[in-house]
Amino acid sequence: MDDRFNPFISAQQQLDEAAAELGLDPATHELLRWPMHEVKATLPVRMDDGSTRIFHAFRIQHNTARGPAKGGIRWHPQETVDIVRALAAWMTWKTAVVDIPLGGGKGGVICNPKELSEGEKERLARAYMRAFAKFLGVTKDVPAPDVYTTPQIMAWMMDEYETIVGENHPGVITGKPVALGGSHGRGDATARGGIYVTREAAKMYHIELQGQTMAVLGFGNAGQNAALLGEEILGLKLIAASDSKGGVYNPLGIDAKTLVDFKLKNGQLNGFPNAKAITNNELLGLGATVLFPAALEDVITKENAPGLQCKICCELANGPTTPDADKILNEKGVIVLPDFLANAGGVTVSYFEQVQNSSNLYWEVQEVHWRLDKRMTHAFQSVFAMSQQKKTSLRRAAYLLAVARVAEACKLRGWV
Amino acid sequence: METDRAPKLRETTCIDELIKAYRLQQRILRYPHLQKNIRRIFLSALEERGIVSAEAVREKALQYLLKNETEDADEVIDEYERALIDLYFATHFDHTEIENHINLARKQQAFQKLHEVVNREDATSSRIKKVLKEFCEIPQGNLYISPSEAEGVRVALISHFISSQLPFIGIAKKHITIRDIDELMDHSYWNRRRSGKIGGKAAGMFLANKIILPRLSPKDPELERYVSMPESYYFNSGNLSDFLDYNRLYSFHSQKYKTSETIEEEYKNMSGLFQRASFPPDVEKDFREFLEKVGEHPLVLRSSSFLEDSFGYAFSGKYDSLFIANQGDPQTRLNDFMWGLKRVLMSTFSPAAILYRRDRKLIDFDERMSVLVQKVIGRRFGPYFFPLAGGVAFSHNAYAWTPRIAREEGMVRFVLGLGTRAVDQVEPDYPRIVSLSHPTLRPEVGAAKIRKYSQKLVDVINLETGRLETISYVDLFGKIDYYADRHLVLSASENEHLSSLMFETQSIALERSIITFDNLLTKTPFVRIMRKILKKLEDAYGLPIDIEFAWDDGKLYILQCRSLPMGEKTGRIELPKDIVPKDVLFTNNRGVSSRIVRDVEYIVYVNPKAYSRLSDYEGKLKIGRVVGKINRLLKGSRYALLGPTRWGSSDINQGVKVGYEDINNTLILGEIAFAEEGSTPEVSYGTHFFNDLVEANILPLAIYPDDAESVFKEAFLLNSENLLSSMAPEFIGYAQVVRVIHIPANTSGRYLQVFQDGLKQQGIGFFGRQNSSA
Repeated sequence: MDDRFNPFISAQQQLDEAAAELGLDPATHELLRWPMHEVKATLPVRMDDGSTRIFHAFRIQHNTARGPAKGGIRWHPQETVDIVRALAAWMTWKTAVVDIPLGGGKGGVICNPKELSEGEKERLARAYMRAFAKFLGVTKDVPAPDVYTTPQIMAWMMDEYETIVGENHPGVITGKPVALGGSHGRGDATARGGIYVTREAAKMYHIELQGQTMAVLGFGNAGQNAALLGEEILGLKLIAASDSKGGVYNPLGIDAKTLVDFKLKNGQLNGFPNAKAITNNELLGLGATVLFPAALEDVITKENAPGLQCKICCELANGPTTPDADKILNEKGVIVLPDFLANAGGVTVSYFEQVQNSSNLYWEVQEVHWRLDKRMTHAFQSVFAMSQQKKTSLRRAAYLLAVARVAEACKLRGWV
Repeated sequence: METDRAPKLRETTCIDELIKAYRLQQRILRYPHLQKNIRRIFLSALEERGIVSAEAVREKALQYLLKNETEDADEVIDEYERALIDLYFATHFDHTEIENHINLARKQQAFQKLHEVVNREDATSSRIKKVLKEFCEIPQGNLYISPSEAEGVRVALISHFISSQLPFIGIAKKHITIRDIDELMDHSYWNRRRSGKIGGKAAGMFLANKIILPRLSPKDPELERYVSMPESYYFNSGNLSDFLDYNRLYSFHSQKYKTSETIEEEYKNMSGLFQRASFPPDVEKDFREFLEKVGEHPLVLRSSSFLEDSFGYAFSGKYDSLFIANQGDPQTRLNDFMWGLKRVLMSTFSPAAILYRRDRKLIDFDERMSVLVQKVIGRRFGPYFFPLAGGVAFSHNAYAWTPRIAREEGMVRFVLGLGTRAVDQVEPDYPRIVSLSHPTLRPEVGAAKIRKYSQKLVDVINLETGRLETISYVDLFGKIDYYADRHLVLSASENEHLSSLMFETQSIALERSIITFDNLLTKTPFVRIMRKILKKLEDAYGLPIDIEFAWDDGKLYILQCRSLPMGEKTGRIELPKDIVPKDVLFTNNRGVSSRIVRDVEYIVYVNPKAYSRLSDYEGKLKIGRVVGKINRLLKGSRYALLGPTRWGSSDINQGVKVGYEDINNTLILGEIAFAEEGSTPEVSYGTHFFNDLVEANILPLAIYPDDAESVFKEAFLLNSENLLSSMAPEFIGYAQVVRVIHIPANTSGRYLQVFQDGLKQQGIGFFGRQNSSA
């Protein structure tokens, strides 16, 4: 690795701070600083033109004290082992904060899927599974889709795994198409989890949501569902939304379903009738009760954070708030629901998928919602309690809670 | 086989032979003036097959003479010879062969006449047409006029009716036969008072179809099955010249010599003038008959001027082409049709078209407008009329975004419905772009990204309202009871899982579907056919070509074809080594076309971030005007224009709204693609706008500043002195967004040198000393 930003070193530094605050013993601290298990494989894949190309692949299990490793497989040309390590650690904390019995893992293949045909993708997916099958399984490590990997790729991998072990094993991987053992309710899981957490936060901080307003920054899958569910579950009124091409605003309210349909049909929000065009920055300063940053990283910066007027900022996207901006928001008293709590609905339903696969009994979507609600509520309450106890932000509290839970599991196992 | 001595006729079959000979004679007698020629052809066929030679026939006749002494020996010999030829021919050739040989004599005679007429300087179109018709009324058969003779007449006919451009004729004469021209004449509307040709677009379309499905040489069975020629009619330029004469609008021919401002001003008033003007009664009658003939079927009126689509000048979208629904009572249809023709003609005088000609020194050319009228390809579903797919295809793929893509296998850019959305830039909508060497590769991964970069809106003709309409595909399919080809177009997406439909009747939640055309690409011969025809056309033209096409009901229709403007030089360019890093302004490594542009003196920089910060529509619109003004001021200077992606976009939020006339003096048009949502902004390739750049020799380049390996020193562009306020003081308020930089003044007298290596996909722009070979 050159002198450029190294995400793994950054992840370790973050842990160091938490360890210091918790007073973690040196051995536990050191154990948590490193992945417990790393596998690297070299995958020869036959290309459509008859040539063979060699791909380098990883699977990293950061910690399995609380259960089998859980985490996606990324296919990215700029993939490095340190990125995968950092993300595997991140998964350990994420599964711990929502308290599902899983550890953290991540996988990656250095490749550019844009340059691979469907046949080549399938052969690469199967090659990956052949190389890593012995390290994966419902009791060991359960991958899922991630950057540039899709439900179809999961389906191929599952099929390859089942061919190798010679039996039905859908739970080896999650994020599969529903027809092949995927869970209902996965489509809106991320947004729904965020909505439940928002509801709990409002309760604890005595903020009335019914009839109040929301703004959604980023109108992809998560953003659209946040708008729909915010209306349905929280009684919020959508006043603004934006995507990469611009935003729309109507202080009197925008019907979320109509806006979602408009976006689906037109590919953009621009031109939505009865609404004023606004920029992302204008949207941030609107003063909606709840703000859902739902698409981009680093959109809330130290420049625009002082202008934020919302009471709750629910981070559905990964890392929408820069550390400097985070500080400003805390000082302003904005309740920031941190990403790895707010968007943990996705991994929770992934876990549900695995549970359903193992029991070979599939739930109605209502059951998925009900169970997700329970999990997210419990997760928020734990994080809230920690933040009260430590007198710290929810973000910090969530992190401390996660590390403490993993540390406890390591200790109970007698590892440290 | 005996050839020196005549074979003996078998006496047992004598009666049969006599009857055959008698019948043959009866046929010959239908053409008394051709008897001699017919027997000459018979005899040479007999010789060719080794049945009997002229000498043997002669010998046999002499023997007869010896046996039956008669007075008039010569005549008897001739008679006997003729009888023998007939007898031999009747007994050795079947009915069809006999007919073909007689017809060959007829054709030869008609051909002589045609040859004579087409080569006469004073030959009128109607006279040529008449003689041509006489020739073509003789059944074609399988015996042909000798190729060298035919070529001369083909060339004369092509240059009279189709095109007098030598490069075109050079290719066309190999593929367009005399009968093809007759077929074209049958579909042509010629003016009685003015001569004319069918124009460039019609010529290209006609030629392409004849290359793909030749009349005389063997056809590729697959192409024969899957390719059809669109039903086309040719309204030659004489009609529109005659219209100007009839309405005393001669002065329009000099419009092109006026100043740009006057042209623009007067063009605004032209519409009213044309609306009032009328076609002569006889022409109107022709139009009425034509509309009666085609019935209530939607029509497209395509401009087909002399210059348009001729070799090297694409005139991309400079002239109007328009759709008419052609529904209702005859008078309404006639009015719509005539207004359509007038609008096409009017576009000859549009500022964009005239400026384009000026830039290419074509202004003195006597440009004339013909119109190619085609029945729109498609079918009616509910009130809507549209084809399954329409778009453009290129035999040379310049959109090679990964080195895996073989440029020589071509590229297709198409949409569901009318191809208008694939030809013009219509953001935020995205046509499907397919590299034919790797049809399933696409630069987007995952359902969400694919949805974002997919088509949402469809252009259709609404036969009830009589309008060209744009409708979302969700609404379109929602309103149609059943569309069998839907499975070729849509993929289902559920929870990020994207899958093509398995069978025709599979139900699908439309609002969760995505237009991918996956099944069209993988389960029909579309890709194979497309590859084949592009290769065949490029081979015939000897140049890269592009076509406009429609695909409907399992058939491909070539609607237009022309040679692709070639901006890219094929020679290898290597980037200079040892450039000091501090001298580098930018590097680029995607979509690189090989080229060197030296000694750029000015950079006009439209700051992408500042542009996107402009919140009001008017402000953004103004930037286009600022760019246009600077472009005019920098005419004759070597300048580069760098700015946000998607120049020329129709959506002001997507890119600076400029037309060709606003950027035509630049050497380089750079798109600075700052990362947006982790994706790279779309390039303009394949659109009319991009074609303009390539053809005008403007180097398009894309710089991705957020790429780890890219260099882009924006600070130089932001910190150097901005000349905008001194050049265009009226736009001083936009100095934060538009910066005009005199490079030598900021680099100690050096200029921008740009090297682009298409093979390695590496490019660089750096400051260096002025180079005299610029």
